[in-house]
Amino acid sequence: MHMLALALRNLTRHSRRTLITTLAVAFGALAIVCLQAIANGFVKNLIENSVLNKVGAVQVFKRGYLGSDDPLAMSFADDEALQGRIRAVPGVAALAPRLDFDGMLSNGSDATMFVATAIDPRREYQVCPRRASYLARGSQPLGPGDERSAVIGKQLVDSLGAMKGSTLVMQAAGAHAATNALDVQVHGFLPHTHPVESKRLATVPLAFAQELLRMKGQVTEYVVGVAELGEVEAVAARVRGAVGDGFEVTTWRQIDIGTRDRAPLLQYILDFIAVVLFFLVSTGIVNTMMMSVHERVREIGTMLVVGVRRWQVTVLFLLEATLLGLGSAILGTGAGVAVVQVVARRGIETKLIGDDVVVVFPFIGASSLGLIVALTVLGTVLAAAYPTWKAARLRPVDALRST
Amino acid sequence: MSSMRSFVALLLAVSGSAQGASPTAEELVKTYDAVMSPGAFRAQFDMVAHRQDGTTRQYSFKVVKSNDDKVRSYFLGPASAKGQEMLKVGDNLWVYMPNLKRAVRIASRESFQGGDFNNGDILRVSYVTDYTATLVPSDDESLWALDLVGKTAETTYDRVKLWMRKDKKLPVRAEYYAASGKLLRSATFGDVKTFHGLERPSHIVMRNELATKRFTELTTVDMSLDAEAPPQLFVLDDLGR
Repeated sequence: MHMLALALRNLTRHSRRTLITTLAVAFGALAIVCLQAIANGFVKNLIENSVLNKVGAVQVFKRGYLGSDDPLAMSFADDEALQGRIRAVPGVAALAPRLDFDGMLSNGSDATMFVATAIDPRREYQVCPRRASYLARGSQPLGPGDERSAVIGKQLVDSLGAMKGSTLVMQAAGAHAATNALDVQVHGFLPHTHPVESKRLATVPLAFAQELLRMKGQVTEYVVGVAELGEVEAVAARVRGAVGDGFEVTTWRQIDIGTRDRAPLLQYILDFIAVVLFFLVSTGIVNTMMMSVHERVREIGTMLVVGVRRWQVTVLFLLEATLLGLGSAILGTGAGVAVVQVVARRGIETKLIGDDVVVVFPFIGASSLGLIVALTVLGTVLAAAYPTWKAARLRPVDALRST
Repeated sequence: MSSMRSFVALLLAVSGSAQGASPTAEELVKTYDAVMSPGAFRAQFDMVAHRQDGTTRQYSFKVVKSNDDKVRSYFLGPASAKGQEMLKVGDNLWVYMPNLKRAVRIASRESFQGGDFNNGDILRVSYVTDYTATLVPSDDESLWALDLVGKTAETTYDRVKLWMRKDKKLPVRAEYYAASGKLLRSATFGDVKTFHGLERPSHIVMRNELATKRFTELTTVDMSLDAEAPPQLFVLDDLGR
């Protein structure tokens, strides 16, 4: 206790040096907090772009649908009772039916292949809210009144010489039905981010697809939104129990393998940058701490002369470093959290491919903050350890003679 | 009232006997099947698919059909399709890919080698089984017009309009419709030839009415009805051998 009081007094006695060291260490902590928060934001955005745009958190298919040669034959009845059972599962926030199919899109003289997702506009945006804005600039999402309309990839429409408002013919066949063809109006365009999406994909209303495929009341999939994305596996397990053996329940990780694999890779890269930054910051801290110990070699000599033990000197200096590190880390992470919160209010706009702007919202969790504080304190103490050990080992007469 | 009824019955009987010479719709469709998709046969066809960009692709293939409506086909060319085989047993259809060394299940409504015929058009079983036919008034005196409606939703087309020559009972043209009423394809049948005693149109042009730049020609090179194929030809495991 006596030592602690002494350490504190030493820190306040050298107020300018303490201030400089504190600012250096705090700035390092702040930089790491900000970088980590941006990394978190990027990874979350990557996952949400998949989950809240297209894939949904949890998917329910008829068993055998995935990997089937004839997926439309593996459709199931859009059933209120089944929906009710899924909705009642704790953690489920919303549910929407879908029907995926492919066919030919033609303008009368030319035809080209398309892959479509049929959605119920009244329910889809509750599960995948970003789908409503995942459109090329100037396009509107499908609404409940748009019965014979489709949102189509721009290049697909361009290849048929059509434009917004044009009428094209969609041709497709259901699982047990002859080829059917219906007129469809180009309602808007999907964004140009992915070339394959732009060349091949379309979104149509569910009722339209059911009429085209002659699959009245049939769907191929229920997409389920969850209240908390971190809980997705637990919710999927509960949904599995609720729907029974006739259905396959997957999460976005199984459906969007690309995102599943990209997210940790991005996290590794950004974590690596954080580690490099940490070492850079550490060298600054080491330098400052070494200077602060070296400046006090004569003081150490005096202490040794008046009978303070070498270990007591070491402990005192390490205690000072711990207090300094702790104070600076709390100050730095506190300032970091404040910066992150201010930035998160607006988000960081990042331009990716084409015209599409991605807004990243940085955030950081309590455990990461704890780790950053712990590492900063540890770094500061380690930086002080070597010069302190060396100084305490000097002969008092040499220490007193040093300048 | 009863005398009125018997009068109508008499009128119907007279009109029926007056048309006694003309076949029924079902008889005509049976004739169509016997000519275009006979019981058991071996045949060779050439197919030219005209694409919307003006290019063409030529295929050559052999077809063997059994009496119980099983069909096996072999591609002879072009090089990219050589070695491919198809097998139809009942409603099931497989294509054997030599590079994969395995058979993949496909749907009869899918396009046959990317042309404008569907698999079901080429490997079709029978119109009599799949469609209910009625005779409808024809705009051409020399032709019978038939309206064929699919008996189930699973037929290749929902509705087919077929015109047949009165003199030879051979098809001249056909129109294929979707459930929505849209015209999907139209075909013309020409160049009547006799193959080992079977007289049939040897040249069919199938036009894609939703993509009018595309059409496909199918020419019968040879067809013989004599040989019954061995049953092991129509087993999935035999594909690729």
